[in-house]
Amino acid sequence: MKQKFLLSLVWCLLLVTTAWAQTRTVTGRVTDADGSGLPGVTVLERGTTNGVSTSADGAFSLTVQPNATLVISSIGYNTQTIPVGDQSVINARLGTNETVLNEAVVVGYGSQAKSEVTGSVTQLSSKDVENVPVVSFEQAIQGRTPGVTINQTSGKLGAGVQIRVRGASSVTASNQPLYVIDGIPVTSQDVGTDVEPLNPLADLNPNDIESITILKDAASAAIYGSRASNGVVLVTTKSGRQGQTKVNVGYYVGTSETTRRQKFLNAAQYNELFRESAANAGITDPDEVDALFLDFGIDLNSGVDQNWSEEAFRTGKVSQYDANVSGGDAKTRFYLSTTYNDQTGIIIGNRFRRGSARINLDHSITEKVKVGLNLSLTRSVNDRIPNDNAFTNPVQLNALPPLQPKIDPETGELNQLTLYTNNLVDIERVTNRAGTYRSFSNAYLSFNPIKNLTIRTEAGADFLNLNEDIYAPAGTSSGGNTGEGFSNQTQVMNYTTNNTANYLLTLNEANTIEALAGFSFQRSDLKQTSAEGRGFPNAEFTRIASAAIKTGGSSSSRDEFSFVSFFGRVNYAYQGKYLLSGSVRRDGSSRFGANNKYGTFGAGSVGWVISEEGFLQDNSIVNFLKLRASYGLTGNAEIGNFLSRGLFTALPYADQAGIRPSTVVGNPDLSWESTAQTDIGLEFGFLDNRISGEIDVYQKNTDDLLLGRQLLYVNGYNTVTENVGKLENRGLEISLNTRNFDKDFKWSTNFNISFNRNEITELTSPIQSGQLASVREGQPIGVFWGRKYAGVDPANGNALYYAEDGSTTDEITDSPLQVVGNPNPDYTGGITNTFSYKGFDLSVLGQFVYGNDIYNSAGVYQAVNGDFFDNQTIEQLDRWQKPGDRTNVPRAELFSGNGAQASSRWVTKGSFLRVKNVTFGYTLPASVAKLGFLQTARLYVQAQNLATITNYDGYDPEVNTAAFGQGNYVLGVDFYTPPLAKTFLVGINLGF
Amino acid sequence: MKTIFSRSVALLALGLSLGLSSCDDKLDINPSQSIDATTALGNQANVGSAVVGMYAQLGGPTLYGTDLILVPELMAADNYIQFQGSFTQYRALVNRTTNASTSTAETTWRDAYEAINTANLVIDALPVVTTPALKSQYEGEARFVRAMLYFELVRLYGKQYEPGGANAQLGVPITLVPVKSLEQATVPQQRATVAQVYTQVINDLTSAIALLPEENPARATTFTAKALLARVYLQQSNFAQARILADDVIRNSGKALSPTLSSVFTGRNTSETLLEIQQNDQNNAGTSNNGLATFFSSIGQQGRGDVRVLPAFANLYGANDARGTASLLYEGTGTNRAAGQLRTGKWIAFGQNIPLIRLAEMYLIRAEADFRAGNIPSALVDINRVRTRSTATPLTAPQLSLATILRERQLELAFEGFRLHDLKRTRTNIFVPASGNNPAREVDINSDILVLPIPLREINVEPGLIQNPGY
Repeated sequence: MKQKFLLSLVWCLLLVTTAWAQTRTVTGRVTDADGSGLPGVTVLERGTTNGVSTSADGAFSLTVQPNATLVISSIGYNTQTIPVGDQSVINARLGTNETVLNEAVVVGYGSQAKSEVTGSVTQLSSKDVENVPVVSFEQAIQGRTPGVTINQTSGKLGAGVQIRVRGASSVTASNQPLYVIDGIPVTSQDVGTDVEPLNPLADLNPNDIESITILKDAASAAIYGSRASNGVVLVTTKSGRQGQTKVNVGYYVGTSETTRRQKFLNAAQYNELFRESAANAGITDPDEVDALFLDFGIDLNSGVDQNWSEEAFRTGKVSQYDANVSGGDAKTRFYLSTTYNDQTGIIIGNRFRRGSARINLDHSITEKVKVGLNLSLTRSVNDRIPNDNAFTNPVQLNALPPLQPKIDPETGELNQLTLYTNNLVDIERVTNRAGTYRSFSNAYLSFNPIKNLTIRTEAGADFLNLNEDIYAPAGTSSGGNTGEGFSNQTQVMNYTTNNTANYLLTLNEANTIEALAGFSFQRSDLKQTSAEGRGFPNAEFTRIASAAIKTGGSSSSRDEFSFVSFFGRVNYAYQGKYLLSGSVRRDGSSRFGANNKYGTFGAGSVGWVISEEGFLQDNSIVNFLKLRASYGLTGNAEIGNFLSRGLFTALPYADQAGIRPSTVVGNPDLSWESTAQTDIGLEFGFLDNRISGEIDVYQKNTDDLLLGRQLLYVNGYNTVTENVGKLENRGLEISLNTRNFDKDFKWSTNFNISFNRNEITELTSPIQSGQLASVREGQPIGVFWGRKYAGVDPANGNALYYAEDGSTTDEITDSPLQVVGNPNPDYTGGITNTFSYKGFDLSVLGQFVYGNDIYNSAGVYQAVNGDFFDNQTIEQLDRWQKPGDRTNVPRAELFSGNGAQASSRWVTKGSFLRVKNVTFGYTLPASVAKLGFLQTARLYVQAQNLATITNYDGYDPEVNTAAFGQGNYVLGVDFYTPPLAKTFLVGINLGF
Repeated sequence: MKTIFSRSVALLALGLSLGLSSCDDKLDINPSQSIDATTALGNQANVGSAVVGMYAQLGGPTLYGTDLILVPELMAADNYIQFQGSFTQYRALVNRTTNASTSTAETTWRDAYEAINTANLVIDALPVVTTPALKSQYEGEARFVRAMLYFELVRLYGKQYEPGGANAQLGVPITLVPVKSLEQATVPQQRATVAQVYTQVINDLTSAIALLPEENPARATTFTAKALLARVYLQQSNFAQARILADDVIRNSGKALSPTLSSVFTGRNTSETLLEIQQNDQNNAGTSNNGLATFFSSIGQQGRGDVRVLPAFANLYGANDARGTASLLYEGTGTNRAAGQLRTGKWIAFGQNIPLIRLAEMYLIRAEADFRAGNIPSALVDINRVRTRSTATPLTAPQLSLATILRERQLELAFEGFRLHDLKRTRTNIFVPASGNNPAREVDINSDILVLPIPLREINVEPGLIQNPGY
């Protein structure tokens, strides 16, 4: 027995040695230009995933196939490609390159050297998203992404973030990109029950991110087929590298404030304006005036001066602890991390906490077989505040008259006798908590049966469990007289399997072909169970079990979809000079109509690296120049799951069950939207890449818009979802990176600017929302459509509007509806300046948005010259008072509706320039750090949203309320929406 | 080497082909909360469910759940109620500044036509109903619901019916086709005249009277249809026909006035009501932004307290009249409203039933018709029957006049959605009392603004639809 075992062991060893005989071990050291060792440099065998990273002194050791080529790369340095040949020791010296031109870029189902990419992609690295006081990573990359606009929409923690890659390419279907984390498409759309979305990407710890790649044109995105029209965001998490084990711990702590606040009338001003308003309405007798206001609970003589609008805000706090350990040997690499993030919001009652842990593991079973596992678990808890449109939204406190006190002087308790609910009561006593358990996980097996062929199979699961609990005790506005509770459990299981084969064929020195073929299946299954109850014995009973009456929100439901896909891609390079690439994907989805279950998408692209041509090869000025062009077809499948069907739904009638037709009529022809995109790009590097950049122009034509075409109500239905309508986006993106100083003192500048013009080119009938936002043929998406305000008649103080013929009228109905604003910016962009000297580093990120309009939908209540009793913005004091007054604020006249109807009166410019992030850090010299047994030590201070320069008179110009559950064409609408946070923090990172 | 390669290729090919063969199943996912429209009405039980669904649609907040009752009150609010709420669409109705994009006109129109389509689909599906009694009942209920909604639509979106006139003024589009497909849903529609709509309403109700059973718990019976037809004739000033039907209901329906008026609203399906919208705590028109109790009530934290009953109206109730006492007119206790303001006790619970037609209205119709026909004693008996139920002092013969009869309607049917329609049929202008320095005045009951606009959204979709004057 023993012998047999030994024998087999010997056999195994023999086999292993045979395997080893085919490979060779290469060792070496990577240094910078000065000859000092560079730690953490990636040394990769080209065309494989076999690689290591260098140790603290720059040394590495890697076992490679014969005739292998090493790709040695590190962010911030020029990548070197070195054929191994017969060498067993390879030393490399990397020149600095802050232009990130040659780094490896993550693309769909693989990676590519940036210089060989023929599509348009933007890649960001971990340092852009690490240790920024935000909830989700998209918020950290604002201002750094040419062609991608990111709008945080609200200062609420964990609120939905609006992202548009090269403009809006849909009207009714989603405009958000597809998010793919470590190869697995994840749930990125809100699954909660509240009208305002939660951002499911908040469950990913930004410090775990290695890179973020945004695929913008068809060439790069078409491999994702029917879901690529809105762009694709590929997130790769960190992985361990062979070498010394690294331990990093970090901590930051800080405080936050609102970016901007709005001013409202104080008691004296309120008295002045509203007495005048009553007088103009014909009520002048002081007793009568007092009585009128008392009818609404307002005592004009109360002597109280309560600044309600400030009550909604407070100084917030942020802190984060994080630790990670990474390393490994030739067989096994690992990355372990854990983090705890705690943010107390600037809006009262708002708090977000997230704890997460991750393990990313790679193991080489043999030289040819590798397995890996990424596993993460996140717990996040969001103490939410009510939606913008709720009376209990703290920002709505600004509507309360300053004459009403916050504290009832008689009882010493919060005063409940206010014009609208004093929601401080609710904030104090109501709990509204959304807790999530989330796991992003995937496992893979990759097999190299022969040289250059990699077969990979992976399965990933994105598991999301959201628990929303709301409890409002009796005596609160939401709790009514007996208390109300709501509890909802949502579970989303979203799993994907990808199976790919990748073959790299080097025909000879000049011709390389890389081919990919694959199959993918995804299924998402959402289940929701909720309970709602009313009638609690007292406030100590908070669970629905104790509720006497179970009410209408009690329910359970399920929603599913699936995708089946086949795809392939071929990249061909001739002498590294002429690049050719083509991809195709065939997608089937459960979402589409019976007549259109499958669709095929594809793209082709070409690239010409001009700098490789003889005439430019040794040019002292131009060191890199590439022209590329792409064209392709992608789709957008983000509509509801069953819109192609005509359906009947259940409708209860007291205790009987009825059914009724759905309001959407079925359409078996329903299909995805198709976007054809052409992109031409130029990439350049001058003066040894001191100046480098990229310029892209594109044209995106979207056909077959999935449009809820409005139907005549008379025929019994609201809409049909059809593939009608067209729109286009045209744009220009420029990014420019310069290294201004490159000695001991380093200064580099990254600048980007993007112009996008959106136009709806075909639409069956206009779409109009209640917030002026509208979709009209020949106009950009979301234009504000309404009556054009023309100021105030100096003779009588009446609000004026423009009539058809351009004259003015005080009859609002005589004023035609027209375009009165455009929420789409003319251009957006950002500029980052990074300085470093010795151990000091400073980076300043500025973000700008120019030319967009904002409609303050709350204007009809808060900026309406004292038409009703809501407190008014300070600007309303400029009202017309006597003939001859020239002003924009009409005569105050209670209940008269003078200038009170929705119009361009509340449409204003929303351009802004924001100092988004300033970070100043100091890294201890390695010699000093070593004394404390540290590899690295860095201290930093940071300011997020430090300053905002704008003419907008509301809270924050980066706004879009989500309170009305409206379509995604509603852009730039403010409705008691809280501003963003301005955060200051200090932090420390230590490496062992 | 070669074998490994060929094996892996074979494996991959196998994997792909396995994947391919099972793909179509993987794409075959059915909704969990809905059923397919093509088979939804395929059997008797399902048609029965659709009939229940039709009633449920009637109870939605844009129909009888709120707007069909609240809006006719708000549009003639002066000297009667005060709207204290913040909803701009309601404030605009009160202030008579409504425009064509008002959400009220849109949602009521939309949901009424959706319910009409359900009724049309039920009628279309009758061949699968095999039980003869049910078949006739379902048809009767569908025709009743359709008639009821067309009657509401023509009153709100068209000018008042002129007795003896041609009534060629525009009413609303009439659609009797069950719409199932996109082709049918895109057929253009034109407004019928007011005369045509009334003819359709009367036809449907006449059929429904014949089809409906005498007993149909909590749902429409033949007497419900007769009572509604009485209301329709009254709106046309066809007093003779109105009297015949009201009289028939009073004599034959078996209904009786409840001991107190408030019990009609606090109880469920009392002896007095001919039709109620059924609600309970789970299923009702709304508790925060919709629902009658939401707008009318003001009890601690419950209700928005948006509709205040003005003293001028409350004072019309006599000293002993129970309708003017705390059970039906109470002082609100809502925290966001000043104390001491009056609220109606008719709408005080989110889950209460909503009486739509009750016997007291039939007495009032018969009284008015009798009085107009010169039958004073009979009118006096009916009026006093209603008054004495609420312990109000009976009227004497000399006190009886058309004005007192109409006032009795106001007192009895207040806050139930009658006010605007009664003022219109009796051509009574809206009295706006003096306020501050503004003298008292009257608003012409025939004003364009007292007719709702055809929703702007609807005209955007079908530009051939003619808008009402003034919008």
